[in-house]
Amino acid sequence: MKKTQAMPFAWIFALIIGGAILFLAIFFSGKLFETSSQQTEAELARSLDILINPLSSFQASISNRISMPEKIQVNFSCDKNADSNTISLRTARGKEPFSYVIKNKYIFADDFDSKELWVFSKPFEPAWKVDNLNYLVSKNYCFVNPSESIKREMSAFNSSFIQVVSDRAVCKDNAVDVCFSGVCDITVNYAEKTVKIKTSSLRFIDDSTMYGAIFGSKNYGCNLERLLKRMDFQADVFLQKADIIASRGCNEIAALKQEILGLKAAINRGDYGQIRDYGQRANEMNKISCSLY
Amino acid sequence: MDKAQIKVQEMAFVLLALALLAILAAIVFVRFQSENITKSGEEIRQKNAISLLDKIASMSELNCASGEICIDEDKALIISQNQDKVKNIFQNIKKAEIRRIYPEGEGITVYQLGKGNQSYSTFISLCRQETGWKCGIGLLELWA
Repeated sequence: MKKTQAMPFAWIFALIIGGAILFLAIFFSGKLFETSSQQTEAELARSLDILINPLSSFQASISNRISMPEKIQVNFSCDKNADSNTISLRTARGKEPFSYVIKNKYIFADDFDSKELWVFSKPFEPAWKVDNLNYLVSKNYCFVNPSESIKREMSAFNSSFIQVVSDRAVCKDNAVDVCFSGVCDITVNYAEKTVKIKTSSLRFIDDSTMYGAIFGSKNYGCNLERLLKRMDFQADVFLQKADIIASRGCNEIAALKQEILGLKAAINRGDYGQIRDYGQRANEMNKISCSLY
Repeated sequence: MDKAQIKVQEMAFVLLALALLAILAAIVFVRFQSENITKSGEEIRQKNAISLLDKIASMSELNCASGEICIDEDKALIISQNQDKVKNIFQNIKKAEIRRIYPEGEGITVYQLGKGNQSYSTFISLCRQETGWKCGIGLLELWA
Protein backbone atom coordinates (compact mmCIF):
# COMPACT_ATOMS: atom_id res chain seq x y z
CA MET A 1 0.00 0.00 0.00
CA LYS A 2 2.78 2.41 0.96
CA LYS A 3 4.76 1.59 -2.21
CA THR A 4 1.84 2.44 -4.51
CA GLN A 5 1.37 5.82 -2.71
CA ALA A 6 5.09 6.79 -2.89
CA MET A 7 5.40 6.32 -6.67
CA PRO A 8 2.76 8.89 -7.75
CA PHE A 9 4.20 11.43 -5.25
CA ALA A 10 7.70 11.06 -6.77
CA TRP A 11 6.23 11.50 -10.24
CA ILE A 12 4.19 14.56 -9.27
CA PHE A 13 7.20 16.05 -7.52
CA ALA A 14 9.47 15.41 -10.52
CA LEU A 15 6.86 16.80 -12.91
CA ILE A 16 6.35 20.01 -10.91
CA ILE A 17 10.05 20.66 -10.40
CA GLY A 18 10.91 19.64 -13.98
CA GLY A 19 8.18 21.93 -15.28
CA ALA A 20 9.41 24.78 -13.11
CA ILE A 21 13.00 24.30 -14.30
CA LEU A 22 11.87 24.11 -17.92
CA PHE A 23 9.70 27.21 -17.51
CA LEU A 24 12.56 29.16 -15.92
CA ALA A 25 15.01 28.03 -18.62
CA ILE A 26 12.64 29.12 -21.41
CA PHE A 27 11.78 32.37 -19.62
CA PHE A 28 15.41 33.35 -19.03
CA SER A 29 16.61 32.35 -22.48
CA GLY A 30 13.79 34.49 -23.93
CA LYS A 31 14.85 37.41 -21.73
CA LEU A 32 18.47 36.85 -22.72
CA PHE A 33 17.56 36.87 -26.39
CA GLU A 34 15.60 40.10 -25.92
CA THR A 35 18.47 41.72 -24.00
CA SER A 36 21.03 40.69 -26.59
CA SER A 37 18.92 42.14 -29.41
CA GLN A 38 18.47 45.36 -27.40
CA GLN A 39 22.23 45.47 -26.87
CA THR A 40 22.80 45.01 -30.62
CA GLU A 41 20.31 47.78 -31.37
CA ALA A 42 21.96 50.13 -28.88
CA GLU A 43 25.42 49.39 -30.26
CA LEU A 44 24.20 49.87 -33.84
CA ALA A 45 22.53 53.18 -33.03
CA ARG A 46 25.64 54.55 -31.32
CA SER A 47 27.87 53.18 -34.07
CA LEU A 48 25.72 54.86 -36.70
CA ASP A 49 26.08 58.13 -34.81
CA ILE A 50 29.86 57.69 -34.53
CA LEU A 51 30.20 56.70 -38.20
CA ILE A 52 28.57 59.97 -39.17
CA ASN A 53 30.97 62.02 -36.97
CA PRO A 54 33.89 62.17 -39.42
CA LEU A 55 31.50 63.20 -42.15
CA SER A 56 30.38 66.12 -40.00
CA SER A 57 33.84 67.62 -39.61
CA PHE A 58 35.08 67.72 -43.19
CA GLN A 59 34.81 70.88 -45.19
CA ALA A 60 33.99 69.27 -48.53
CA SER A 61 31.11 66.99 -49.52
CA ILE A 62 31.87 63.37 -48.76
CA SER A 63 30.17 60.01 -49.02
CA ASN A 64 30.49 56.61 -47.39
CA ARG A 65 28.79 53.23 -47.68
CA ILE A 66 27.60 51.66 -44.45
CA SER A 67 26.88 47.97 -44.29
CA MET A 68 25.03 46.80 -41.19
CA PRO A 69 25.67 43.34 -39.73
CA GLU A 70 21.98 42.57 -40.16
CA LYS A 71 18.86 44.07 -41.69
CA ILE A 72 17.54 46.88 -39.53
CA GLN A 73 14.43 48.98 -39.45
CA VAL A 74 15.23 52.62 -38.75
CA ASN A 75 12.84 55.49 -38.09
CA PHE A 76 13.92 59.10 -37.85
CA SER A 77 12.25 61.90 -35.99
CA CYS A 78 13.12 65.47 -35.19
CA ASP A 79 12.25 67.68 -32.24
CA LYS A 80 12.86 71.37 -32.78
CA ASN A 81 12.24 72.27 -29.13
CA ALA A 82 14.79 69.74 -27.89
CA ASP A 83 17.01 70.62 -30.89
CA SER A 84 17.56 66.97 -31.67
CA ASN A 85 17.13 64.08 -34.08
CA THR A 86 16.06 60.68 -32.80
CA ILE A 87 17.00 57.39 -34.41
CA SER A 88 14.70 54.49 -33.51
CA LEU A 89 16.36 51.27 -34.54
CA ARG A 90 14.99 47.74 -34.51
CA THR A 91 16.58 44.51 -35.63
CA ALA A 92 14.50 41.67 -37.10
CA ARG A 93 14.66 39.77 -33.78
CA GLY A 94 14.05 42.85 -31.60
CA LYS A 95 10.66 43.43 -29.97
CA GLU A 96 10.90 47.09 -29.05
CA PRO A 97 12.88 49.66 -31.07
CA PHE A 98 15.89 51.25 -29.40
CA SER A 99 15.74 55.05 -29.54
CA TYR A 100 18.85 57.16 -29.54
CA VAL A 101 18.81 60.96 -29.42
CA ILE A 102 21.41 62.85 -31.47
CA LYS A 103 21.73 66.52 -30.66
CA ASN A 104 24.88 67.52 -32.52
CA LYS A 105 23.97 66.45 -36.05
CA TYR A 106 21.44 67.27 -38.73
CA ILE A 107 20.23 64.03 -40.27
CA PHE A 108 18.09 64.10 -43.37
CA ALA A 109 16.71 60.66 -44.10
CA ASP A 110 13.54 58.75 -44.79
CA ASP A 111 12.62 55.75 -42.64
CA PHE A 112 14.11 52.54 -43.99
CA ASP A 113 14.28 48.80 -43.52
CA SER A 114 17.56 47.68 -45.02
CA LYS A 115 21.04 46.32 -44.43
CA GLU A 116 22.97 48.73 -46.59
CA LEU A 117 22.88 52.49 -46.79
CA TRP A 118 24.91 55.39 -48.08
CA VAL A 119 25.77 58.40 -45.98
CA PHE A 120 26.57 61.71 -47.63
CA SER A 121 27.46 64.98 -46.11
CA LYS A 122 27.61 68.50 -47.42
CA PRO A 123 28.33 71.72 -45.56
CA PHE A 124 25.52 74.21 -45.11
CA GLU A 125 27.24 77.54 -45.66
CA PRO A 126 24.99 80.38 -46.74
CA ALA A 127 27.72 82.66 -45.35
CA TRP A 128 30.05 80.68 -43.10
CA LYS A 129 29.90 76.91 -42.56
CA VAL A 130 27.09 76.37 -40.06
CA ASP A 131 27.59 72.59 -39.95
CA ASN A 132 27.61 69.61 -42.25
CA LEU A 133 24.26 68.16 -43.21
CA ASN A 134 24.13 64.37 -43.20
CA TYR A 135 21.96 62.48 -45.68
CA LEU A 136 21.21 58.81 -45.15
CA VAL A 137 20.13 57.18 -48.40
CA SER A 138 18.69 53.68 -48.45
CA LYS A 139 16.84 53.53 -51.77
CA ASN A 140 17.55 54.28 -55.41
CA TYR A 141 17.32 57.85 -56.65
CA CYS A 142 17.53 58.93 -60.27
CA PHE A 143 18.51 62.54 -60.94
CA VAL A 144 17.18 63.56 -64.34
CA ASN A 145 18.94 66.43 -66.09
CA PRO A 146 20.39 68.26 -63.11
CA SER A 147 22.70 71.26 -63.43
CA GLU A 148 26.38 70.61 -64.15
CA SER A 149 27.45 71.28 -60.54
CA ILE A 150 24.86 68.86 -59.11
CA LYS A 151 25.76 66.28 -61.77
CA ARG A 152 29.44 66.55 -60.79
CA GLU A 153 28.67 66.35 -57.08
CA MET A 154 26.30 63.37 -57.38
CA SER A 155 28.76 61.52 -59.62
CA ALA A 156 31.58 62.21 -57.17
CA PHE A 157 29.55 60.56 -54.41
CA ASN A 158 29.99 57.38 -56.46
CA SER A 159 27.00 55.70 -54.84
CA SER A 160 25.19 52.68 -56.23
CA PHE A 161 21.97 54.25 -54.98
CA ILE A 162 22.28 57.40 -57.09
CA GLN A 163 21.96 57.54 -60.82
CA VAL A 164 22.43 60.73 -62.86
CA VAL A 165 20.84 60.60 -66.31
CA SER A 166 19.72 62.96 -69.04
CA ASP A 167 16.70 60.85 -70.01
CA ARG A 168 14.11 59.65 -67.47
CA ALA A 169 13.52 56.46 -69.46
CA VAL A 170 16.98 55.22 -68.41
CA CYS A 171 16.12 55.38 -64.69
CA LYS A 172 15.88 52.11 -62.75
CA ASP A 173 12.30 50.87 -62.30
CA ASN A 174 12.30 51.10 -58.50
CA ALA A 175 14.12 54.44 -58.35
CA VAL A 176 12.66 57.69 -57.06
CA ASP A 177 12.91 60.08 -60.01
CA VAL A 178 14.17 63.57 -59.23
CA CYS A 179 13.53 65.96 -62.11
CA PHE A 180 14.81 69.49 -62.57
CA SER A 181 12.25 70.22 -65.28
CA GLY A 182 8.89 68.57 -65.85
CA VAL A 183 6.98 66.58 -63.25
CA CYS A 184 8.41 63.53 -61.47
CA ASP A 185 8.21 61.79 -58.06
CA ILE A 186 10.28 64.71 -56.81
CA THR A 187 10.35 67.93 -58.81
CA VAL A 188 13.00 70.56 -58.19
CA ASN A 189 12.37 74.12 -59.29
CA TYR A 190 15.89 75.49 -58.98
CA ALA A 191 14.95 79.05 -59.97
CA GLU A 192 12.17 79.29 -57.39
CA LYS A 193 14.20 77.23 -54.90
CA THR A 194 11.45 74.71 -54.19
CA VAL A 195 11.26 70.93 -54.02
CA LYS A 196 7.83 69.43 -54.75
CA ILE A 197 7.07 66.00 -53.32
CA LYS A 198 3.50 64.78 -53.93
CA THR A 199 1.40 67.68 -52.68
CA SER A 200 3.91 69.40 -50.45
CA SER A 201 6.29 72.09 -51.57
CA LEU A 202 9.50 72.61 -49.58
CA ARG A 203 11.53 75.81 -49.86
CA PHE A 204 15.29 75.48 -49.77
CA ILE A 205 18.18 77.90 -49.26
CA ASP A 206 21.08 76.31 -51.13
CA ASP A 207 22.14 72.96 -52.63
CA SER A 208 22.80 71.38 -49.25
CA THR A 209 19.26 72.10 -48.06
CA MET A 210 17.89 71.03 -51.46
CA TYR A 211 19.44 67.59 -50.92
CA GLY A 212 17.93 67.66 -47.42
CA ALA A 213 14.46 68.14 -48.90
CA ILE A 214 15.06 65.37 -51.47
CA PHE A 215 16.56 62.73 -49.16
CA GLY A 216 14.77 63.56 -45.90
CA SER A 217 11.55 65.42 -46.56
CA LYS A 218 9.90 64.00 -43.42
CA ASN A 219 11.98 66.03 -40.96
CA TYR A 220 13.15 68.71 -43.37
CA GLY A 221 11.28 71.67 -41.85
CA CYS A 222 12.32 70.79 -38.29
CA ASN A 223 15.98 70.24 -39.21
CA LEU A 224 16.09 73.49 -41.17
CA GLU A 225 14.73 75.35 -38.14
CA ARG A 226 17.42 73.73 -35.96
CA LEU A 227 20.07 74.78 -38.46
CA LEU A 228 18.88 78.36 -38.60
CA LYS A 229 18.79 78.50 -34.79
CA ARG A 230 22.41 77.31 -34.73
CA MET A 231 23.31 79.90 -37.38
CA ASP A 232 21.64 82.60 -35.29
CA PHE A 233 23.80 81.61 -32.30
CA GLN A 234 26.94 81.61 -34.47
CA ALA A 235 26.00 85.11 -35.67
CA ASP A 236 25.85 86.19 -32.00
CA VAL A 237 29.35 84.76 -31.44
CA PHE A 238 30.66 86.62 -34.50
CA LEU A 239 29.06 89.88 -33.36
CA GLN A 240 30.76 89.60 -29.97
CA LYS A 241 34.03 88.72 -31.69
CA ALA A 242 33.57 91.77 -33.98
CA ASP A 243 33.38 94.01 -30.89
CA ILE A 244 36.58 92.45 -29.51
CA ILE A 245 38.61 92.99 -32.69
CA ALA A 246 37.13 96.46 -33.21
CA SER A 247 38.52 97.37 -29.78
CA ARG A 248 41.93 96.14 -31.02
CA GLY A 249 41.88 98.59 -33.92
CA CYS A 250 40.05 96.81 -36.76
CA ASN A 251 37.74 99.55 -38.04
CA GLU A 252 36.76 97.69 -41.25
CA ILE A 253 34.75 95.24 -39.19
CA ALA A 254 31.84 97.69 -38.72
CA ALA A 255 30.47 97.07 -42.26
CA LEU A 256 30.64 93.28 -41.83
CA LYS A 257 28.89 93.62 -38.47
CA GLN A 258 26.00 95.41 -40.19
CA GLU A 259 25.62 92.56 -42.71
CA ILE A 260 25.62 89.98 -39.91
CA LEU A 261 22.94 91.98 -38.08
CA GLY A 262 20.90 91.99 -41.31
CA LEU A 263 21.48 88.24 -41.67
CA LYS A 264 20.27 87.65 -38.11
CA ALA A 265 17.09 89.62 -38.82
CA ALA A 266 16.51 87.57 -42.04
CA ILE A 267 16.99 84.32 -40.06
CA ASN A 268 14.41 85.41 -37.50
CA ARG A 269 11.96 86.36 -40.27
CA GLY A 270 12.57 83.03 -42.06
CA ASP A 271 13.29 84.94 -45.27
CA TYR A 272 15.47 82.49 -47.23
CA GLY A 273 16.09 84.91 -50.13
CA GLN A 274 17.43 87.55 -47.73
CA ILE A 275 19.53 84.93 -45.92
CA ARG A 276 21.21 84.16 -49.27
CA ASP A 277 21.68 87.87 -50.11
CA TYR A 278 23.05 88.89 -46.69
CA GLY A 279 25.19 85.74 -46.66
CA GLN A 280 26.80 86.61 -50.00
CA ARG A 281 27.39 90.23 -48.93
CA ALA A 282 28.84 89.12 -45.58
CA ASN A 283 31.21 86.78 -47.43
CA GLU A 284 32.43 89.67 -49.58
CA MET A 285 32.90 91.89 -46.51
CA ASN A 286 34.75 89.10 -44.71
CA LYS A 287 37.59 89.30 -47.23
CA ILE A 288 39.45 91.76 -45.02
CA SER A 289 42.61 91.37 -42.99
CA CYS A 290 40.66 91.05 -39.73
CA SER A 291 38.09 88.53 -40.95
CA LEU A 292 35.53 86.99 -38.60
CA TYR A 293 35.29 83.49 -40.04
CA MET B 1 12.11 8.08 9.30
CA ASP B 2 10.35 6.02 6.63
CA LYS B 3 11.57 5.42 3.06
CA ALA B 4 9.31 8.05 1.48
CA GLN B 5 10.60 10.78 3.82
CA ILE B 6 14.19 9.87 2.96
CA LYS B 7 13.33 10.06 -0.73
CA VAL B 8 11.74 13.52 -0.31
CA GLN B 9 14.80 14.67 1.60
CA GLU B 10 17.08 13.34 -1.13
CA MET B 11 15.06 15.16 -3.76
CA ALA B 12 15.17 18.35 -1.73
CA PHE B 13 18.97 18.12 -1.51
CA VAL B 14 19.30 17.46 -5.23
CA LEU B 15 17.00 20.39 -5.89
CA LEU B 16 19.00 22.62 -3.59
CA ALA B 17 22.22 21.59 -5.31
CA LEU B 18 20.64 22.24 -8.70
CA ALA B 19 19.41 25.65 -7.61
CA LEU B 20 22.84 26.57 -6.23
CA LEU B 21 24.48 25.43 -9.45
CA ALA B 22 22.02 27.48 -11.50
CA ILE B 23 22.61 30.55 -9.31
CA LEU B 24 26.37 30.11 -9.64
CA ALA B 25 26.11 29.77 -13.43
CA ALA B 26 23.83 32.83 -13.57
CA ILE B 27 26.30 34.89 -11.49
CA VAL B 28 29.20 33.93 -13.78
CA PHE B 29 27.12 34.63 -16.87
CA VAL B 30 25.80 38.02 -15.64
CA ARG B 31 29.34 39.04 -14.66
CA PHE B 32 30.64 38.05 -18.09
CA GLN B 33 27.79 39.86 -19.86
CA SER B 34 28.10 43.02 -17.78
CA GLU B 35 31.86 43.07 -18.39
CA ASN B 36 31.18 42.79 -22.12
CA ILE B 37 28.58 45.56 -22.04
CA THR B 38 30.86 47.84 -19.98
CA LYS B 39 33.73 47.14 -22.38
CA SER B 40 31.70 47.86 -25.52
CA GLY B 41 30.18 50.96 -23.83
CA GLU B 42 33.68 52.18 -23.02
CA GLU B 43 34.84 51.51 -26.58
CA ILE B 44 31.87 53.40 -28.01
CA ARG B 45 32.48 56.33 -25.63
CA GLN B 46 36.13 56.39 -26.63
CA LYS B 47 35.38 56.28 -30.38
CA ASN B 48 32.80 59.04 -29.95
CA ALA B 49 35.19 61.32 -28.05
CA ILE B 50 38.02 60.77 -30.54
CA SER B 51 35.79 61.44 -33.54
CA LEU B 52 34.41 64.54 -31.80
CA LEU B 53 37.89 66.05 -31.35
CA ASP B 54 38.11 66.89 -35.06
CA LYS B 55 34.52 68.02 -35.27
CA ILE B 56 34.86 70.42 -32.34
CA ALA B 57 38.16 71.85 -33.55
CA SER B 58 36.64 72.60 -36.95
CA MET B 59 33.30 74.07 -35.91
CA SER B 60 32.54 77.69 -36.81
CA GLU B 61 31.84 78.66 -33.20
CA LEU B 62 35.50 77.98 -32.38
CA ASN B 63 37.71 77.91 -35.46
CA CYS B 64 39.81 80.79 -36.78
CA ALA B 65 38.56 80.50 -40.35
CA SER B 66 36.44 78.16 -42.42
CA GLY B 67 38.16 74.88 -43.20
CA GLU B 68 41.03 75.32 -40.78
CA ILE B 69 41.75 73.16 -37.74
CA CYS B 70 42.73 76.11 -35.63
CA ILE B 71 40.99 77.45 -32.56
CA ASP B 72 40.33 81.14 -32.08
CA GLU B 73 41.05 82.05 -28.45
CA ASP B 74 38.52 84.92 -28.47
CA LYS B 75 35.73 82.67 -29.76
CA ALA B 76 36.65 80.04 -27.15
CA LEU B 77 36.26 82.68 -24.43
CA ILE B 78 32.87 83.76 -25.83
CA ILE B 79 31.68 80.12 -25.93
CA SER B 80 32.89 79.53 -22.37
CA GLN B 81 30.53 82.33 -21.29
CA ASN B 82 27.59 80.82 -23.22
CA GLN B 83 27.91 77.18 -22.20
CA ASP B 84 24.16 76.56 -21.95
CA LYS B 85 23.86 77.31 -25.68
CA VAL B 86 26.44 74.74 -26.76
CA LYS B 87 25.39 71.79 -24.61
CA ASN B 88 23.88 70.02 -27.62
CA ILE B 89 27.11 70.31 -29.60
CA PHE B 90 29.02 68.68 -26.74
CA GLN B 91 26.59 65.76 -26.43
CA ASN B 92 28.10 62.86 -24.42
CA ILE B 93 31.04 65.06 -23.40
CA LYS B 94 31.47 66.09 -19.77
CA LYS B 95 34.14 68.71 -20.17
CA ALA B 96 36.05 70.43 -22.97
CA GLU B 97 39.15 72.42 -22.19
CA ILE B 98 41.72 74.24 -24.30
CA ARG B 99 45.23 74.59 -22.86
CA ARG B 100 47.98 76.76 -24.26
CA ILE B 101 51.12 74.62 -24.40
CA TYR B 102 53.49 76.96 -26.22
CA PRO B 103 53.89 79.75 -25.29
CA GLU B 104 52.56 78.52 -21.98
CA GLY B 105 49.35 80.18 -20.85
CA GLU B 106 46.11 79.75 -18.99
CA GLY B 107 43.54 77.19 -20.07
CA ILE B 108 39.95 77.94 -21.13
CA THR B 109 37.15 75.65 -20.01
CA VAL B 110 34.96 75.86 -23.08
CA TYR B 111 32.32 73.56 -21.65
CA GLN B 112 31.74 71.78 -18.38
CA LEU B 113 28.82 69.62 -17.32
CA GLY B 114 30.58 67.46 -14.77
CA LYS B 115 33.69 65.41 -14.21
CA GLY B 116 34.57 62.88 -16.87
CA ASN B 117 36.30 59.57 -16.25
CA GLN B 118 38.66 59.60 -19.14
CA SER B 119 40.19 62.34 -21.26
CA TYR B 120 41.09 62.40 -24.94
CA SER B 121 43.21 65.14 -26.44
CA THR B 122 44.67 66.47 -29.65
CA PHE B 123 47.20 69.18 -30.42
CA ILE B 124 45.73 72.20 -32.13
CA SER B 125 46.85 75.53 -33.42
CA LEU B 126 45.60 78.11 -30.92
CA CYS B 127 45.43 81.63 -32.32
CA ARG B 128 44.58 85.14 -31.18
CA GLN B 129 43.60 87.91 -33.58
CA GLU B 130 45.28 91.24 -32.96
CA THR B 131 46.66 93.30 -35.85
CA GLY B 132 47.35 89.92 -37.43
CA TRP B 133 46.99 86.33 -36.20
CA LYS B 134 49.31 85.25 -33.38
CA CYS B 135 49.38 81.51 -33.08
CA GLY B 136 50.79 79.01 -30.65
CA ILE B 137 50.41 75.35 -29.85
CA GLY B 138 47.41 74.31 -27.81
CA LEU B 139 45.82 71.12 -26.57
CA LEU B 140 42.14 70.41 -26.93
CA GLU B 141 41.09 68.01 -24.21
CA LEU B 142 37.71 66.29 -23.96
CA TRP B 143 36.45 64.35 -20.94
CA ALA B 144 33.84 61.71 -21.56
